[in-house]
Amino acid sequence: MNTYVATGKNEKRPAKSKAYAAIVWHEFKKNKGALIGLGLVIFFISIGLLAPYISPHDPLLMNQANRLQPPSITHWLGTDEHGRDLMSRIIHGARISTTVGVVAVLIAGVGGVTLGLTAGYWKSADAIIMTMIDLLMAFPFLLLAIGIVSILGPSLTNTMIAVGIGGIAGYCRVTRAEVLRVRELEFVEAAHALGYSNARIILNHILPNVLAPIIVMVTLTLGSSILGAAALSFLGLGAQPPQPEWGFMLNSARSFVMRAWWYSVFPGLAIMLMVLGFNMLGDGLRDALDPRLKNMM
Amino acid sequence: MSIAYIVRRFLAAFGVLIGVSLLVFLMLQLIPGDPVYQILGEMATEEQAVAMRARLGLDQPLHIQYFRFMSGALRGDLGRSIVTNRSISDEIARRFPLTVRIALYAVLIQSIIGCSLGILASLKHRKWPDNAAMLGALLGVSSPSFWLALILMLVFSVWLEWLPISGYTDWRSLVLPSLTLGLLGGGRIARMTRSSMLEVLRQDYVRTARAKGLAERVVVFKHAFKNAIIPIITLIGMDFGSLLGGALITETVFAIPGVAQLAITGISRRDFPMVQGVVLVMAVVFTMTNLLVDIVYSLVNPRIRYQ
Repeated sequence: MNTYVATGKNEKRPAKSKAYAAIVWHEFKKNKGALIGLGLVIFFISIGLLAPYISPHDPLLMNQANRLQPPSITHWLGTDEHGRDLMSRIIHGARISTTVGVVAVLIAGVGGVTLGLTAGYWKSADAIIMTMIDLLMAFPFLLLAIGIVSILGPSLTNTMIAVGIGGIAGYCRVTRAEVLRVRELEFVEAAHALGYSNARIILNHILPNVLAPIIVMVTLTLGSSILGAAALSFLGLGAQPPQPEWGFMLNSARSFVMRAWWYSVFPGLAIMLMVLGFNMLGDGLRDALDPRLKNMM
Repeated sequence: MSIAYIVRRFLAAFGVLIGVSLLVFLMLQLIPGDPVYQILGEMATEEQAVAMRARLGLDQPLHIQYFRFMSGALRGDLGRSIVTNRSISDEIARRFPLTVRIALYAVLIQSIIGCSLGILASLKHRKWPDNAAMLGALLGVSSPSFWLALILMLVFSVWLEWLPISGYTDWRSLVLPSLTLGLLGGGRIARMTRSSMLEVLRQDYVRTARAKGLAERVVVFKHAFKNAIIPIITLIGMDFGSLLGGALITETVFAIPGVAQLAITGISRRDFPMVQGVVLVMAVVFTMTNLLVDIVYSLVNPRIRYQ
């Protein structure tokens, strides 16, 4: 209840104000799950950034004498079928997965928010854009991604594009719904009356007021984009060997599941923890920024 | 009113299907470069290229190509695979039932798991069963399906040796692929059931039912759950599509000969008609399921029709 009153009152103020950020942080840090999520996200981003300095071995160095070794003192998480150190590969994989997630979400977010702003603001564009979006949504996410990768050809870059395009529909719908709500409010009417240009009204007056659900969506879709991209790599349509990508590592691990349990367990555990971090962070941000959203996402 | 809504919904679905067919048709056109050389490789001779172009119908004007594609598709003819020269419709018809079965069993499993966990969580709101169920749901939303599949394979096939490790022999081969998706999807359903139940349990009529001394079981299932179920049904219906997609992944993990193999070998061998066929069939099934869910929904909940 407390949360609701706090942000409810705040909704009328521009998202930029210092007090708003303080209130959001105050709500956020009360939430234990959100803090754990933040911790996990920071952890994975740091090991991704520091990968070359902290990984104990070269992630690409093959050593056939050392293949499929169980976890030990030298290889904490064991080795793979080419004798490469699994822990080093997982640490470097954090870099790939964060990049993939961020780029895919950028594509989805920029594309979807632009379309959503356009569709919500101009009634004439609405029908066309929403028909396109309905069409995108006629494909299950993974199928759409597979279709796009089949057009562009399998690679890590194309995976990011495919997952990004798959995410556009969600951003567009959320943004449009918010714009439809905000555009009827008095301050937008006032901006019109003052003769401001459409671009100025959209960017300075509408966008800041529809940002909260978009921020929440960014964190939540980071998780699902990482999952989607890993799935494509698992299917062999994304990262190509010898890239240490987590999904692709599990693809190779599948053949050795009878002999090397660690190979199947650890890369997946890394994906799960990273995605879990983004999801918990997203849930926490949602509750702190705008409790209304709880029923929307 | 109801008829008008259903007709409108049918027309909308029809429009989406036309759009889907167009998009799938255009896949071949959207390929960067010449699709013919993409298929044959850069070393292909001019004659080979001309033959392949004729075979794919790419030498015809676009609208005639689309007309041929559509009239074929409507008759159930999706052309022939470039690699194996087999009929694509036959290949899909032979394998699709396995994919659909995995998705259907998964729907069943996730509904049972999700509803029971969700009801339990709502009744023990903010106590440990609630927290445990919600943690489980969060883990479910965050886990990659192919990883959970591998873990289940490790436990039930490698260590316990209860179930076959891969390939398809009988229903036992489908247990783990479906269970994987069911466990993951159960998390989403549990969240929805919980929030829907919490909403309903607050209502006055639930308090009345309890006040007049009805058994808790009757209150929960007859008064509360019955009214909480509508959003859950929608979610389950909408999930069918993502389960079909998810089935592609678990099929791959357990080497089940469903449509996933067709799509994935199709992509790696540049067998575009095959990929088009799989994508088209799955998108059509997905659209039709959504249509069905909407109609059932409007019959169950008359309010929706007036919106």
